[in-house]
Amino acid sequence: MNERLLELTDLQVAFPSARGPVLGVKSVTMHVGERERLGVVGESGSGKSVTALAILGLVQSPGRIVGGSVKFRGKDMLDPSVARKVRGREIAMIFQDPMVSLNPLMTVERQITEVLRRRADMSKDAAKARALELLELVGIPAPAERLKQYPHEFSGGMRQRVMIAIALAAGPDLLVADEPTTALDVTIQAQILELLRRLSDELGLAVMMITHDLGVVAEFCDRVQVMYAGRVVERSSVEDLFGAPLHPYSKGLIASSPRVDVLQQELTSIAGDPPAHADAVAGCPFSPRCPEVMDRCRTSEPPLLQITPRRWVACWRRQEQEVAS
Amino acid sequence: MSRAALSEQEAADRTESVLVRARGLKVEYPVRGGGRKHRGRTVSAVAGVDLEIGEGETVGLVGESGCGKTTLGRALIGRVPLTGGTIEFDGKDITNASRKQWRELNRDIQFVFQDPYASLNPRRTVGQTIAEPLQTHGIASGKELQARVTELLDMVRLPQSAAARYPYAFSGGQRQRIVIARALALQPRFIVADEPVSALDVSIQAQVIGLLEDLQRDLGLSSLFIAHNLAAVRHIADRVAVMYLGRVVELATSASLYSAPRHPYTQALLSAAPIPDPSVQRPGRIILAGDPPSPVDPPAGCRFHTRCPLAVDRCRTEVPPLATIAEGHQVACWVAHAQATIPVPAVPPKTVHGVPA
Repeated sequence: MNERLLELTDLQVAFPSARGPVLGVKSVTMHVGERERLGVVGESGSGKSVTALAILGLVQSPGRIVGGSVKFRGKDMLDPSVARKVRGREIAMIFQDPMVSLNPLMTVERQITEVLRRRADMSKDAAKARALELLELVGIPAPAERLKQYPHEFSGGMRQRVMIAIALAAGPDLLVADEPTTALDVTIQAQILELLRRLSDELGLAVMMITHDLGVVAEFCDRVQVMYAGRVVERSSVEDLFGAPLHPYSKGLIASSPRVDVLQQELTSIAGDPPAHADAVAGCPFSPRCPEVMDRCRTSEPPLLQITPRRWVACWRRQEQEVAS
Repeated sequence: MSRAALSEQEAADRTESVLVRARGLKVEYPVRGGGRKHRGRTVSAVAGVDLEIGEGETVGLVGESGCGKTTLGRALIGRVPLTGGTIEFDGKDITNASRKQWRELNRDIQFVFQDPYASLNPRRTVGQTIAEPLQTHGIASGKELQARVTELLDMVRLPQSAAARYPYAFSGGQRQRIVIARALALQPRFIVADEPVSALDVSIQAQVIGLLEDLQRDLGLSSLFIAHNLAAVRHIADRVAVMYLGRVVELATSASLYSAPRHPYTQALLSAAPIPDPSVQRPGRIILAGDPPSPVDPPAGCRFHTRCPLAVDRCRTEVPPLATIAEGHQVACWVAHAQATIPVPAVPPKTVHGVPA
């Protein structure tokens, strides 16, 4: 297997609440390899976005990392001075809403050249030339004219392309993309995914794709981590996950995703709602909604265990079946 | 019986049971702000739409942001002033209904919007919220009212105890079911549901879609289900209308639309939708270039021609009418008309399906 770029070990993030601190991320262990496209899939409250922020050292107070480690090429990302150096240079991030990260009062050229001068120590002229190349690279038509424009003059899809250009400015090895296509229309989403796929191939860029959309995972990723209630509950290749999901939550999620290509007789839903926070349920956090629940699940939490050479699952029933067979 | 005669018979059957009929619907807005470039201009949000919804029928309305689907839905519930066209409900012309008349019409016509967080008053209990329309219309009071609230909660699979609690105590999926219970309180015949599941998690969406399907079957409700998610619509709709820049470009039964889309825009939409299954091979995938043009200055002719891979000269100047090209399948595309399995009339017929030029 190729070299590991990023390694998270037993990451824990806590948030204060009226009843004392609660965990938003309870235990997340994962890695991203060089050039790999990793999907992190989960629903609201699963802890996937907080995990992404933790990787970049961007967890905002009152949230706090209370345990575990985040290493990028062996460097400790939980050390703020290290994170500041790596962020934007070796790891870059794009978000769902590009307007949040773009300055509405600055031309696109100025925003890109500032990043280049700060993060890549370029001269003013070199930065301008590179900004033009970057807009071309992300497929913005008439890039020379577009550089002189302000973010509001761009459509949603074009703004996301600008954000990708800024993210690529300093030549990162890993791009963390948090729901980058969720706010976009389906035809524009297809364009952006196509662009990210091309960039990942051409530049050898690893991508951590955080999404709630299994369709995006199936079309973009090599490997996937399924998150639920602040934990990783399943980890496998994309083919294995969709071919034969192991965790009952993964199964439920796949069965409840509507498809355009086939008519499903009935869309199955998962009963109940996700827990309010990562510690709200004793035992397995999915046990109150699980159709395959056993007594043990309600009292003791299953660890994420490797049950075949390429698959991990946090489920007592699956682990017992594996031991039996 | 010839095919043409059959579809005439079908059309006649449908005419008898049509509940909602919109003809030549137009909605234009003046452009607010936008600087010099757009001052004094109008946005053509809905540009001549004909749509019928039969008794007990669910019609899906899909399209991307800015295509006018929400405006069309709001026009049908009297929330948007029309620039042109007519709306009939149950055979009565309601195009110019007053506010007072709409109060009465709302017994029959209800709506469910996207955000279940914004549509419930946080200071009222769920029981008060659901009882409100029944009280306003003087339909029930006292014990009868309580019984009706319980019945409605039961219909949306919430316990009786929910009535005494406030919205904050409920999840998004539960809130959307409360909104549906309130919409059903007056036993409406027609519901406009605008993106009713888009704010919900995937595992919860199916609960709400399943509930809507059951209610439509059990209560014989007619509905317009507006969504950007084509996959969700496939599941719930009998027929589906696809909108692009203010016009319906394709209208067909779900089975026909998803298995054999005829408009290049519908084909691109279906082709772009991600499929949660990596084993599905998608050769010949269409990825449209660029963004949709502005509805302030829509292209002449077919509004899709600027992005259309199949556009011919005629598309740039003449608006293609929405015409029947196969049974239960209408499309507004010159290229598709030329390939139609049944002859497309040169002049759109003066039926409810035709689009006035």
